[in-house]
Amino acid sequence: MVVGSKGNGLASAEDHTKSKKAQKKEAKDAAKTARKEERKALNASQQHDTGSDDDYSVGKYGQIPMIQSAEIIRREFFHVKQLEPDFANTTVWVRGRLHTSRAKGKQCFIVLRQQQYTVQCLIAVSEVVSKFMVKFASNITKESIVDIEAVVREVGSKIESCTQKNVELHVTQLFTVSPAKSQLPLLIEDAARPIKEDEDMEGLNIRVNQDTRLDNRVLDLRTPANQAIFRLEAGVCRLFRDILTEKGFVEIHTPKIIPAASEGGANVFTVSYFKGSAYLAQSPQLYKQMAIAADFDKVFTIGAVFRAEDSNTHRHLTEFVGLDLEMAFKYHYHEVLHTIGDTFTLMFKGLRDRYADEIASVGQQFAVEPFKFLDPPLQLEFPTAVAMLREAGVNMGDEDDLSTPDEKLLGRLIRAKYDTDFYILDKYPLAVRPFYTMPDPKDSKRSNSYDIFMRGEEIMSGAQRIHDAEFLTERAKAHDIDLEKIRSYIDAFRFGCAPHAGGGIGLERVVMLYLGLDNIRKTSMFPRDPKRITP
Amino acid sequence: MNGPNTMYRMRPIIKLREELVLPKCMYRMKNIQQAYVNNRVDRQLSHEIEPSSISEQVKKLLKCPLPEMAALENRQEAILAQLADLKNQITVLRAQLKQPHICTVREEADISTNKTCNILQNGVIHDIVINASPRYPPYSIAALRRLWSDGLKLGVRCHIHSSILELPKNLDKFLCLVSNSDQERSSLLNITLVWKDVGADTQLVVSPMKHITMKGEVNILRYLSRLGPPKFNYELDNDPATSARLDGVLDACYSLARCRTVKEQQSLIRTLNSYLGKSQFMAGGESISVADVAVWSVLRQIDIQPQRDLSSNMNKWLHDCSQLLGIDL
Repeated sequence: MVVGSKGNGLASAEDHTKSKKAQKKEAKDAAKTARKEERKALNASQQHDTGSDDDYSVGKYGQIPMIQSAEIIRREFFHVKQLEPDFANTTVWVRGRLHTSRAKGKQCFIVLRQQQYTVQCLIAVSEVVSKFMVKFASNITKESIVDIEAVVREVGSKIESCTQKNVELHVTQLFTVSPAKSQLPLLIEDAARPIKEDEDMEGLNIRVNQDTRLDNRVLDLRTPANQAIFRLEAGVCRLFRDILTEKGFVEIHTPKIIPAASEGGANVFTVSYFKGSAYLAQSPQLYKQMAIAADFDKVFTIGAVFRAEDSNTHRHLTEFVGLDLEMAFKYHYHEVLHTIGDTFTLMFKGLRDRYADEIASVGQQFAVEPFKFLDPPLQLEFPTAVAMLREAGVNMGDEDDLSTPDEKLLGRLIRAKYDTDFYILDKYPLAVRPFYTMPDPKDSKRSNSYDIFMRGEEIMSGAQRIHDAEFLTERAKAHDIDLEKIRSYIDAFRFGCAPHAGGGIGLERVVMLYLGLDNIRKTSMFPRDPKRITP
Repeated sequence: MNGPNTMYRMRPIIKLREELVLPKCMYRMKNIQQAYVNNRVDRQLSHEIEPSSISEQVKKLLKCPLPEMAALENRQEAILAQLADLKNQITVLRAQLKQPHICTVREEADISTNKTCNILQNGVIHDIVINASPRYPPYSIAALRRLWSDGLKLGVRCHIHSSILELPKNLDKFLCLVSNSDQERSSLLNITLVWKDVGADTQLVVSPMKHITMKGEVNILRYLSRLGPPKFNYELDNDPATSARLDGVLDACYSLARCRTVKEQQSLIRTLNSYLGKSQFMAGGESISVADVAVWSVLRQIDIQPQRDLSSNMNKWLHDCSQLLGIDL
């Protein structure tokens, strides 16, 4: 008791000693809480009121409970891209994301986004829309998924900020289906802002850097450019399949877990395999060739390829999608080279004609020149390329390989002369190619091999392969290769094999170069490089 | 000070400090104009009269020549003497070998053929690119291929640029004429013909490093005629007056391809008509020349009816050309 009374006495003493300022503050805080309470009470009463008479839009807006497939609602939804003036004055349902919203007094403008398409919506106080509904609309967080019932109206002046420029939606019902957190790690608007050469110092200049994008890939992928890039990537894959199938190729699937390194040069990933270890395939080449030896005549394969190269460049990934083909020919490997060239030309034409929207969409964010090509593709011989480079002042020997800067320069020279971003370089020096490359019968220093370039970067390296086991052994010895390690490869040719040639491309690299992007991470949905294995 | 007095005097934009401190880490060079400057200062000190005009200044300069100038003059004299000596030696040698004093045109032409072949074989010109619009097919290339035949084999490869969606059907015949697969291997001059939307400005790209793009079909013809067999080089084969006249014909073709109105077109056709006159070919002689090829090509590109728009001699000429070239499109 005594202690207690003493304590009380102390407290009261402290009360007295408190400065006037602190007292004032306390009083203020108290007033604030009181006011808050008051407001809350008022709100509650208002909400209570609205239920009865004031809010006549009740039931036409709000958050719907999590959809657990409780009931079947038959409702026809329109895609935002379908919204054109021919739908004027009809009522439609649309589901999309709230891209941006802007409230102004009695009305609220919302930009609704569905994939790369956007449309402007207007929620204004009227006989069906109460001011509470407008308030609700203005409080929905960005990137939330909403269901909207609205009347399509034609607009007088074009809405430049949206893809649907000629219509806007006058909202009659509005529900949030899946709300987003109010704090976003990046804004879609910022991530989608066009990159301009001449930086406007005064304008809004917020950029999202590559790592932030990749860390929050789900959000980043929602930008129109990314939507287009990956649709185009699917297009490349599909065209590759369709064109080759049309040409009589068979799609095969090769193992990704392999017993030994299949190709020299690039490093392989080791994985534990029960009690021993195995490797991840760095190329389906051996299996493609075995399929040829097994009389499949023309084969192609699409699948993951792994390279354990510790190179952090704009064009290397440790895992990528390889599009590989191999084809038996009758007498000359140019039969294959022409097929490859034709495949590319058809693919580029297909992209140009069927994916014009996607290409334009990417072009809006990353201003790049459209891809140029010739039909039939330009085919030059290696010595011609060397002569062109020498003319431009590059010092190189006849048997040297092209360095990366040389390749870029050559790309620029060829573009200036022939106005094409795609070309084939034939007849590489034998010294710079792998041991299984067939030498040129007329010139022992050259080989029946070719590289294919897009915008001055190599995308495919291919050759006629040696299909004779004896000759292959001889060439392997000349390269000082341990014959034991490649026994199974050589054995594949012991029972007769058709002459064949082929090559492979990396899907991500082709898409990057076709679109003229500067980094391969932009064309890989979840890129893997030496420094990143997440997300 | 030394400028003409008729110009405005400008105030210096920046004033330098009196003394410039120069780094001493490098060798000091003598001012090469010091002699002249000193000379002038001396003169000014002695005469105190400003030269009133440039000509006077020049005169003064000539009156008191600089030692450098004298040295240069001496050197030139020495070189000229050396050249004269060499010329004498050659004349003596020629007399000994009993060679005529003046080479014949024929021989010069042979030399040039060899030179052309050398240029082409040694790969100085690997390949030339011609960009042409499908609306204006370069018929002259097809004509040259026929005309030159063995003189200089042309290997033409056709490509379609991605900016052209589809090639018109009427070009099929032209493509057959122009590209011939069996000649590809033995050809001396490779032409890559790219169909591209360039309008009437048919382009020629030889090497992006050393040449600029040439525009207009007739200019390409001029270029090719220098490379081709000398027999068809209008500048070698004719006297300068005829060459100049043929240049006029070529220029008329250039304008004809770019005509906007029918009136313009008709007046140019009349010009060409007067160039032809009563003769058999444009050059006046009895042999076909580059000018004929140019006119023949452009008349196929523009929209005219030969019977209605051309004179009778022109019609006959057109017929003769087609017969001679063996091309009937």
